[in-house]
Amino acid sequence: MGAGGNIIAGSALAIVAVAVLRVSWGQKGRSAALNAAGWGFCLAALILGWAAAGAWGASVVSLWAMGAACAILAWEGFRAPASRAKASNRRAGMMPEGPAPLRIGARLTTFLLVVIVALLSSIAFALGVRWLAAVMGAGEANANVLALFATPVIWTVLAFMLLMTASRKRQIVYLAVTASAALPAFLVGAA
Amino acid sequence: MSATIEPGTVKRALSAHAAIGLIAGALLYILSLTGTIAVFYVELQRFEQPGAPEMTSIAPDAVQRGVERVLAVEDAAGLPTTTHLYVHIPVEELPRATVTTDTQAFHLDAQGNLAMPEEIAWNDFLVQLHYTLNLPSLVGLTIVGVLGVMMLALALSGVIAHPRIFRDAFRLRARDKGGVGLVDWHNRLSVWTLPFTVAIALTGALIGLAVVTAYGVAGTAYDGDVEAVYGPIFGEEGAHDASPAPAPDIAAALRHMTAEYPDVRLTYAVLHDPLTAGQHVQMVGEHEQRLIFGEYYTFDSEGRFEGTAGLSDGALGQQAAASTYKLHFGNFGGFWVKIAYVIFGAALTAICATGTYIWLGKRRRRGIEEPRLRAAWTGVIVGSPVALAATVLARFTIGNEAPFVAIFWIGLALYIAASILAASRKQTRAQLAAA
Repeated sequence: MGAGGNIIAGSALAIVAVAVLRVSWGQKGRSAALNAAGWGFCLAALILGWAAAGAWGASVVSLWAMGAACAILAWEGFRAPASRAKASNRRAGMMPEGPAPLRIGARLTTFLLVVIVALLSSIAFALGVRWLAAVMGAGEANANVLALFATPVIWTVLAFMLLMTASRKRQIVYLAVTASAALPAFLVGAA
Repeated sequence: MSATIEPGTVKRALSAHAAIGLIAGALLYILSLTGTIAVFYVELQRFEQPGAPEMTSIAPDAVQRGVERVLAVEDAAGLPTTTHLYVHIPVEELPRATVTTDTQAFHLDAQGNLAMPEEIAWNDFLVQLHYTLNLPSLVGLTIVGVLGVMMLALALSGVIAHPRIFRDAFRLRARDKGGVGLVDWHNRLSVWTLPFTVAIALTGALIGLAVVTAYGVAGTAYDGDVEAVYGPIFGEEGAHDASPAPAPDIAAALRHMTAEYPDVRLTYAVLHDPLTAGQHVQMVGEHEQRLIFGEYYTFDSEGRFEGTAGLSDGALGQQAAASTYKLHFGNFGGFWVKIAYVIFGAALTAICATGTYIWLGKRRRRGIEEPRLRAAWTGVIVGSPVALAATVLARFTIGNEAPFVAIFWIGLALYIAASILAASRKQTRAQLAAA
């Protein structure tokens, strides 16, 4: 099968995969076999797309899968009857309620840690990634690109971790550990 | 998934999700909205300036003639010689030949004559709004990069905060009132557009934060030279030599491309340091079924081929870096991929809009009425497209010189203020009636 054939097959399989998952998740009990089939088809579709045209092929196949899911979702929304289900009142805990103190200082500190300090820590981590990649012989272009990619990825994880803990001490430890990745680059010198 | 995530973790993830959403939600909404519209950036240029000459292709000698004329016009006008000159080569979605210098841009006709100035200020405003929020470039780009990270963190916290992610994946109670329908729309669209959201947010964050990371890398590895960070990835700039020289032979470079790389779709010819001894020419060529924005083909001033940058077949890092742009802008697969990007982009815009409404609804159901806050949010959601529509109206009434930035931001601020004022009056009237 040529590249074009693989793209068509991958796209078709992506649609089938979403349909199988729809059937699987719509059942009352969990069906391991259908789940495995759905995810397996997803994986196979991506592999076919990648085999046909690398990242381009995988991207096109992914768009078909998302499009199929949105089409099924639209149908589900269209046929769903209005019910009397109650919406969740689960508190998000973001803003004080009633007489609770505003804690402006603490909130501002969290903001500064998540946005400013975490950015700096992430850049420091990226410098460590670059240093390690260069030392391991990745080549200058690969090492630099790894550093550029590392900053947003690490910052995302770090921001999430900082917001998931209420302990200021733990937040500072997370930031310090992340930033410490740059130490070799500064101590030994950039490779 | 509910078996593996503890309720406490879900609650903390929900708090994190709400915190990020409330702080960054309005700007993320504006970025999603403008990004969705900007998918058709090149097509919108034809809509904005419909009278420009169009052609399916342009002869190499015509391009040469056009470039020399633009350089001569700028010289005659006493402008400093441009440091870079870009020739847009006619392609299917934008069949126009346009020469852009540091200070201005001209459309060429098929013979290479200067036909008219390019007038796409509204498109440029839209793209700048999306790229930098109309702030100075480095600051704005970095803030937009930060917002990309916030969107990634929202996606991560949203998944963790959603314990029934698979069981509910196709449940959309679209007609339910009292907040259920809104939550379902938000959650279902978020789940099924997750790969798109992650791709858009990651590439956006990468593009936006690349400069600040590059400053860090430059400080530790290149004696502060930021350009040197990008050199191994996108190719080095040639050595500068400011002594005067005649215009480079772009036509020869174009002929070489046609003869040697017939399958490559040329999009731009770029002149570096034109009219100097250090000048050189680069062709940007797209490759079929690739995510890379193109490959750089470098030529000397005589039009002799020197080599490629390696974006199509060099180090994996080069190929990955060159693939971020098309993946972000959705221009890698023709019209239907753009349509898909518009649909998923609209979904992402709706996700941004509904998030804060869900949070406000929960508070209202707990007895906390915040009519002004709700009105302010509605002001952002409705005011942004209204202000954008006002800029379009200004483009076709005032013209290319209309103050689009002021119209958008002042218009949006006024809309939000008016929404809050209306809500305040309504609340006052209700209180008076109750008394």
